[in-house]
Amino acid sequence: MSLSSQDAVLLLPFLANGTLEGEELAQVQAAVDQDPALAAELAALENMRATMQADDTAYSPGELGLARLMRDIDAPHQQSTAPRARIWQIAAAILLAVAVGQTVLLTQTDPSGQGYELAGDTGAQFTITVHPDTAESDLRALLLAAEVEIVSGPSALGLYGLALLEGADAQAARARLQAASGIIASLDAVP
Amino acid sequence: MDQYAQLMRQIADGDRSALAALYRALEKPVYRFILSRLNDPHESSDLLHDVFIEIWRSASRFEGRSKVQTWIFGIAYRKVIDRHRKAGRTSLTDTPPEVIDDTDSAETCIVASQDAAQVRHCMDGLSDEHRSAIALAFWEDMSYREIAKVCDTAEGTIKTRIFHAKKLLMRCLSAFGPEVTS
Repeated sequence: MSLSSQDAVLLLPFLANGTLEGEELAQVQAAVDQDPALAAELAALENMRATMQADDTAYSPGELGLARLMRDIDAPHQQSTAPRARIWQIAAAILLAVAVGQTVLLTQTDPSGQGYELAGDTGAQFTITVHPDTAESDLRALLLAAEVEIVSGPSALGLYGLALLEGADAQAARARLQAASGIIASLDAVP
Repeated sequence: MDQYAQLMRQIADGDRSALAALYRALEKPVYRFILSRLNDPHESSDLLHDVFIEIWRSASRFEGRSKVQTWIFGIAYRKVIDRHRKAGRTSLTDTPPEVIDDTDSAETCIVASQDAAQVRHCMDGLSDEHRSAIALAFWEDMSYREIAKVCDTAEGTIKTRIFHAKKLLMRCLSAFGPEVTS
């Protein structure tokens, strides 16, 4: 039994992606062989598929995401991580606003005119700078994996102050940050 | 038994290294699928994380009646829908073409379909359902039966969904193609 033209059209995308089998494959292929319009459509679909598969512009979290996963699978059941992430982002934004305000204040009041220091005791254990092309998602995943949080910055020089989360190990955090040389441009312990 | 099914058994037994192996094998396509539907890298990273957390917790419920990839993409598919619901997002309506009279569109869109930016632009104009179906068919090379399982819908629905999505894509791409002279 041969396929109607309409049935063949419905199955054309699956001829293009190579998933048709057996009788269906033979019937759709026969319909394409007999109909130039179907053959043209198949060519367009094959092009589209090839273009999509070659378009590798989605940068997945990779090893940073795996580190975060390995940390979280031991955690007790909790809600989706997304709300936490948003809270983290909001907290970071507030800290950023405070830091910028403090930096401006220092710039205005410091008679030397330098104004590059962050005001106040932030409790930071590390200061870092990050490479300028770092994606926020990569930095966030690293900070989560290292169990640290931003408590100050960025300063005018691009310095962020990091504090350990409760129960986190300072040496392990330092090792993780040091290992992420693709993200962290400089790392210093705060005395 | 395929390699992923073996990994799933190990994950069900609490094997962290098996989870890491599965993550390394599938995180990129699953992320790409999620990103194609959310269009937000940060949100997509979080959802990918949630998908693999669920795999870790639910691996023992995987019965092997479908491919592992189908099961995992099904989790991702549902989580995106949940996220859309929570965010109060409604799918863009991309009304399917009423009249199928585009004899020229296949030829005119052949050139345009070789340009990734144009394909991406046209994909962005599709509704979530259409975009999901095309993504699974052309990125993941899934059969219509597998896509139906991922989307938990009838095989016929997937065929017509992809048919309409394909028409919309070709119509959009035709606009980028060379002018056809009669």
